[in-house]
Amino acid sequence: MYQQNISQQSYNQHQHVPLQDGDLANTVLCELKRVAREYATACLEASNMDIRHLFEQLLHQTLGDQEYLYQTMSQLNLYGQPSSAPQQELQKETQHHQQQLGGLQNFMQQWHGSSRGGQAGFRQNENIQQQQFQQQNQYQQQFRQNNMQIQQQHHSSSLPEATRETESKSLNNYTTDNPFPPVDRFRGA
Amino acid sequence: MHITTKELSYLSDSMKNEDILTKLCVHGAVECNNQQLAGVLAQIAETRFNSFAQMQNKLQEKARMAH
Repeated sequence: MYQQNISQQSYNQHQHVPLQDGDLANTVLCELKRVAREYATACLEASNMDIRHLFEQLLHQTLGDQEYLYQTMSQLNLYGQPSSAPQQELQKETQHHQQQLGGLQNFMQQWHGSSRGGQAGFRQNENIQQQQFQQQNQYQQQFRQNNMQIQQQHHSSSLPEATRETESKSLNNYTTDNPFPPVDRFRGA
Repeated sequence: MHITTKELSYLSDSMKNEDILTKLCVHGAVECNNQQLAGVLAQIAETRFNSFAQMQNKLQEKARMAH
């Protein structure tokens, strides 16, 4: 009986222990993350498009709320800042996935080469060629800029006139509109 | 289009989630000391309540269609 009174008193004394701001916010943040996952699952499982769109909408709202709360917590230093990935690890992963990309490209080429590739494979080829063409354009622009800088340096240098002309001509050869051969890596594969 | 048992179950669970989340946000908005955080939690409580109401509307709509 005595012990029961003691424990009751102790319970009453500790009944109203308030949570810290960080704990309160973290509890809501965790709930938002859990609810977002549930909406994503519900969305994937819905067969009725009407219900699916509702879950999609609710998922977006939840993601928005989660971001808003996270940003506020981050501003108020209530959430630990994530550490950057080590540079070495990043390079290692990049190299590994570059090799993987090569393997995947070969796999796709084989698929395009087979009769099953068909029209879809042809469209895929076109997309890859388009991407490569855009990349080439970027290289060209960069090359032209570098070239102009080199030319300016040459103009200001004290080289003899003949040498300067030769240098300038050889550099100009690369500044044509299409200095790179057409991409035919995937063509006819 | 009719609503399946699975979808009804997800809606029901989601409404329970929103109910608890709304209450949790209101509690946080009242209890926390930082005014900025209190404001954010109050806003989130409103959006969670609206989510609950949206699902209730959808349920009502489907119930009407079933009759």
